[in-house]
Formats: sequence, C-alpha cells, structure tokens
Amino acid sequence: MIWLITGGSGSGKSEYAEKLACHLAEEEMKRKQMPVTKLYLATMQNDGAEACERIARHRNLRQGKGFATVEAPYGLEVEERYDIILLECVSNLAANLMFGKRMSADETAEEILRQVKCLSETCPQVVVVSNEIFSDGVIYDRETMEYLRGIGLVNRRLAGLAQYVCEVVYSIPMYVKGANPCIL
Amino acid sequence: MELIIGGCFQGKTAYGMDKLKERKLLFDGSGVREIIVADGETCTWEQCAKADLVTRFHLLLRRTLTEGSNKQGITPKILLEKMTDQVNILLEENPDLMIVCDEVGCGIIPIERSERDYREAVGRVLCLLAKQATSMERVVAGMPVRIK
Repeated sequence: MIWLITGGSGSGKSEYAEKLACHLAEEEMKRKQMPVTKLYLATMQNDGAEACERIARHRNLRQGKGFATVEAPYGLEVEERYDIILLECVSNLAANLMFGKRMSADETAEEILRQVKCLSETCPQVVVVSNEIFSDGVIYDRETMEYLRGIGLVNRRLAGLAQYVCEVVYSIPMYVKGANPCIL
Repeated sequence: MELIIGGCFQGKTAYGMDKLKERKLLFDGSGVREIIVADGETCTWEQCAKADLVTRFHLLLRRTLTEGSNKQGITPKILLEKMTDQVNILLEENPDLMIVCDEVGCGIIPIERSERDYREAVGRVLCLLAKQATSMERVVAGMPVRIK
C-alpha cells in the first residue's frame, strides 16, 4: 500500500504519518508473527542551524520507535528490504531535484514517481509525506511557480498511485481517498 | 452553478473537464459539441456567460479589480460591490456554469493594499458563489471532496 499524507506547515502531518507508520508496523507484525523493520527516509539537507533544529525535533519524535534512518536528499533507492518505509518529505526531495540537480518540474515528478513505485515493489507499506503550499494566493517568480507546479504534479500523480490520501488539518486526518483507518 | 475550488496546481480544471465530458449533456443534435472553456487569465465576463466552464476565475476577478482601480475615485468597497453585481448577472445569464477558482486566502496577509483587496474580494465572491452553488467541491492532490 502507498499512503500519501499532506498538510500545511505545523499541521501535525509528520506526527500523524509516524503514528500511522508505527500502527502499520504493528499490524504487519501481527500478520507475520515476526519482528518488522521500519525505515525513515529523510530528504532534508542538513545545511544550516534551522535545518539542524528541525531535524533534531523530528529525531526526538521518532526516538525509541525503532526506525532506521537513511538520509536521501536526492534518491530513494534502498538496497535492503523493509516492511515499512516512511518518506519525509516530497517537497524537500522535489526542491533538491529541481534546484540541486536542475531537473524540470515534469522530470522531477517522473523521477519521484519512479522512486516511490520502486520502493513499493519490495516494501508492503510506504508512507509518503508531502506539503500543502498552494493556497496563499501569491503569484511568485517563474522559478517558484514552476516549483509549485512540480509539487502539485507530484502530489496528484502520487495520489493517483496511492491507495490512501489524507490531508492532516491541525492534527485531524481528513481522508480524501480510501477509508480512514481510524488509528487516532 | 457548480463550484470547484482548491489550491493552485491541484488538477481542478482537469477534474471539471472530466465531469463535463462524462455527462452527455453536450449534445446539440449534430453530435457532441466541444466544451466551451473560458480562461480567467484572458476572458471577458461576456465570454463566461456563454461558457460551460470558467477556469482560473480568480484571475478574472484580479484583472477586474486592477482595471477598476485604475479609474479615479473608486474605493475598494465600491469596486467589490460592482464586481458582486457582475457575478450575480453572470449567474443569472448562465445558471449552469461550472466555476473553477483557486483558494488564495491561506497565506500571510500581504503588505500591499491591492494584494489584500484581491484576497478579500476573491474570498467574498467565493462565499457568494458557495451559497448559490448546487454543488461545491474542493480538490486536494487531484482528489475531489464534496463539501456542499
């Protein structure tokens, strides 16, 4: 299954996605009657004090929950097999590909789709976190508008692929595709 | 009138077009006619009155505000009233119109007056449209959620 979790900044989408990943891990463990492995794919580049702070906050949130962490600012190819993968987040990954690797919005969407499909081939539960950044009404410069279009495209295509799509509104999960598993 | 809203780049227009294509309402005897789309970036109010779907409606509102504010002696309040009248006339003339509009009010309040007026106007017009709409949907990542 692929789960797409979006939300505005500070909406609690990360926390929800983590709880969901842990919940799915428990279900998987019950089903398999074996311990399960969880991977956290971190896409944020560690390039400044503020990034460090954010990373530290998210590390604390995950502490003791049994996630292996891999930093993957550009790519998500994972050699090992995991039962649960939590990818956070698509908007950072898209920014890294567009501004770091000079990919176009369409190439970026294509690449992220390919990577997530690839992950889901070996991993039964992939939870992808994205961002709601589309409703401030600002008409930005061309590059930024293109970035917005890129993330919009990634979100739409991931939503098409995913079995579940959920927008987190200040901690409240609103499922727009698939039924709410009611874990909270 | 049907209303489709959501953030930018969410697939609202594509969704609206799919809805219109699915309906076989567009027969006019000689077969299926093409769906008439008015684009808010360039269209006139008159073109909206003859269209099946108007996309980027917020840009039509934006242009109307900009054009109006270039005339002397018009306050934002009068401008909004005038625009509200235009919207009401449009709905009378074309009650079956499908309107696609961006949500633009979920950001920092802009420093510039004209930008604040723009967001306020889009918000007020959308409230009016929402009240009159037979259905209203909000699209997130291509997924429509019916909210009215």
